[in-house]
Amino acid sequence: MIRAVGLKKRFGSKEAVRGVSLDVPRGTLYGFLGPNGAGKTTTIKMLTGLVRPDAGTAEVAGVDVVRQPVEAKRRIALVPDEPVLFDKLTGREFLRFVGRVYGVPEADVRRRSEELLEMFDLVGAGNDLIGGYSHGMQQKIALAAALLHEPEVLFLDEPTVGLDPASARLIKDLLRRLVGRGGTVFMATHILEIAQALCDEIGIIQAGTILASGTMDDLRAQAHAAEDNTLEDVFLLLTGSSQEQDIAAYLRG
Amino acid sequence: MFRYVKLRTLFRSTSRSWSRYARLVFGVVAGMAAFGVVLSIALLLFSSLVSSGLVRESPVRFTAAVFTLGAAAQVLTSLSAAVYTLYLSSDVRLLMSMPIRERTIFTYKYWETLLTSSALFAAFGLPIVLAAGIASGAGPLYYPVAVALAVLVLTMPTSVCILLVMPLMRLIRAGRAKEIIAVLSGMAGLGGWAFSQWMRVSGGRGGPAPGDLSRLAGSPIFSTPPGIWAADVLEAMRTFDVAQLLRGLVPLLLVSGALYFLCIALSARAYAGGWARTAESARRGLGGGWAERLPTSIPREARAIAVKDLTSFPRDLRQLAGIGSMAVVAIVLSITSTHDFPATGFRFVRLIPYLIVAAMPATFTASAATRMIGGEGKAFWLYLASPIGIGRLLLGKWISTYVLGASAVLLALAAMSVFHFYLPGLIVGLAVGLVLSAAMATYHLAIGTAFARFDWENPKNSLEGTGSVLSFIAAMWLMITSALAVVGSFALSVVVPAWLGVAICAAIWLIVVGLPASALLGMAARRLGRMEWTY
Repeated sequence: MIRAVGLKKRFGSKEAVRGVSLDVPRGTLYGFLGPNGAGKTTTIKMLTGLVRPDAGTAEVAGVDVVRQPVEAKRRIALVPDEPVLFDKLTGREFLRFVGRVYGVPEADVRRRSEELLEMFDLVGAGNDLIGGYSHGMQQKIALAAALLHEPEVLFLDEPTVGLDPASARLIKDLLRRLVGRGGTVFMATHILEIAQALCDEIGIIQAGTILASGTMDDLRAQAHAAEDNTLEDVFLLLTGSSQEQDIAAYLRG
Repeated sequence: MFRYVKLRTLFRSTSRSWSRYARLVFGVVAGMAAFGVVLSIALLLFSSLVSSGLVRESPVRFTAAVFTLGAAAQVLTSLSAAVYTLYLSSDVRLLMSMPIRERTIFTYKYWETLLTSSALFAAFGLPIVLAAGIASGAGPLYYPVAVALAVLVLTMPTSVCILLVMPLMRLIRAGRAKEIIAVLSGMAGLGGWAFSQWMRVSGGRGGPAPGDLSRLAGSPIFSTPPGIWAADVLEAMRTFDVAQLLRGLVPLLLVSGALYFLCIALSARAYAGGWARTAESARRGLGGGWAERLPTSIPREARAIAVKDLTSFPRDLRQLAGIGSMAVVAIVLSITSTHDFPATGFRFVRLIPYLIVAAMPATFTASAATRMIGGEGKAFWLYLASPIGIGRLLLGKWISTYVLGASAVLLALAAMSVFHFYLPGLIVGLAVGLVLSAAMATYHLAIGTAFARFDWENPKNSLEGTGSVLSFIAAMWLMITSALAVVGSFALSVVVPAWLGVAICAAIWLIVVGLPASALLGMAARRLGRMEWTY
């Protein structure tokens, strides 16, 4: 469902992504982990057509993202970590705009909008301008908009950051249901517990290179970790973790 | 140390950003040019008044009005500057979390507000004060004292505005406050222009009579504080009158000093005590339903974009004020046009006011079009992540711009017709206005796309410097070619039938204007095609 081969991207002198290759099958919830500046967001931007790769190919739902960007975007949805939305539209109007752009019939847009507003507890705020929404509400309306056209692949960048525990739980349940119905989710996150509990497969990226990818067992094998090691242990083993150990030593004095 | 770090940050943020650097250089050059022009005109005026003996008073007396009007203008600029420096700039919270005294932070913020809001007075007010000194033969001490007095006078409105902004921001969200201040500033400018037009018309033809100048010198604006205090000090320096010096200096120092210290002390306390929080009230999305009436024959994505833009439009006070100002300009022009263009004589002369009123909204269309892409700011990723082709995106934005521009043309001509109805003028004005708006929308949408900026804090900065220059050139090009086409049509109608004259000129105009338009649209499409979202 998502296939990337040798994706590379350079911004000036900084090589943000150095040959990322991925293969995420349909109906998978894929967690994409990595430290800050590892290349997670740039990879997502290349897979969603917001940034053009310098080298390599990216295919989503069988469509080449670089050669047929409009066709690829029809099948995907993206929720960035800090979604900036149209602040002079109300929540309902924003959903209507998204529905129209994706060609969803008007009656379906109305029905699904109300369902999603209710699901995200935004019915009361549906006629308020998005500019007045809190960060969490903006995150929820962006997710609602992403789900409105029932995308084949959903890309999420840090979806639970800034959300209250109830909303974070709702999103986790929602993602599992989406995958259960045959959808594919590609989720970048910092929160290892969420990734371990939620994801079917996990990719770990550092300095623009994929260090390991696969199920939890695959990762343990690639990291030469014990069977009872958590994702955190595996992550630290794979990423070298000297920085974290230095911090712990510093705090111990 | 704190000031050193702030200055270093300011220097780096300017020197490492080409567009900021270019804007700064352009601002300094434009400011110096304005200063020079105002100084020359004021010097010429004061010198001729003194030599002709039209007024008995010293030119220095006139500085009272300059200071008072400068202080009044400073209220608007300071309100806007204070909203930016205290609420929209991201450094206040960071600075408050650091071990720096609150007073130090707010003193720095105070001077930042004062400096950024005083540019208008420095460019247009100060040269008049200096010219008065030169014309009256003042000594060398006059000039530094004049600058110091200007600072004292301007601190008064600045202090009041900073104190006013805090309770104001408890009621209005920071983003909304920007809109309200922009509208107030626009209304003040428009009011000034309308007043000047009224003065021009009511004053009759020819220059001012000596009696007019004497009446002007006796006007209350010349005896109103704080201007009169500053003028007293300057006049006392010329005449060596100690009593007059004290009469001006003491109240000026007392009032400006008291307001300054009160402002620093209260604002620091208000911020630390949580009284300076901004409002977080939700706003209902009112209006915008009319946009749903756009024809469904428009391609789906383009229609969705146009409906979105036209729904958002009435919720932005700045945009609404822009279109409203067209009606005001039209009404003022309709009143003044009977004075400038009498209803008798050659029929073309009677059309001129309608052509002017029809062309005015073109400037609004140009301004709206250049902001259509960059004005979306960091929300533009929504278009790039959606399945919208480049052509559909540009079409949607063009429809939005044209509907707004055409509405401005209709509104302006309707407002004009209420006061000054002339059917041929209305028809010709409507045709020229609608065609010119379409051309403006095309040119400026293309320029706005090719030179869009998305990482702005103020939508005024959503166009790169090169784009602003090109936008001005394009507007001039369209205005001049349109004027030539209209004049040419009338000139040709003397030798060929009127419809043929219009057809010939319209065809030539279309070719002359259409070729650059297609090149510009191609440039815009290439920019969109190459765009990478790195924000």
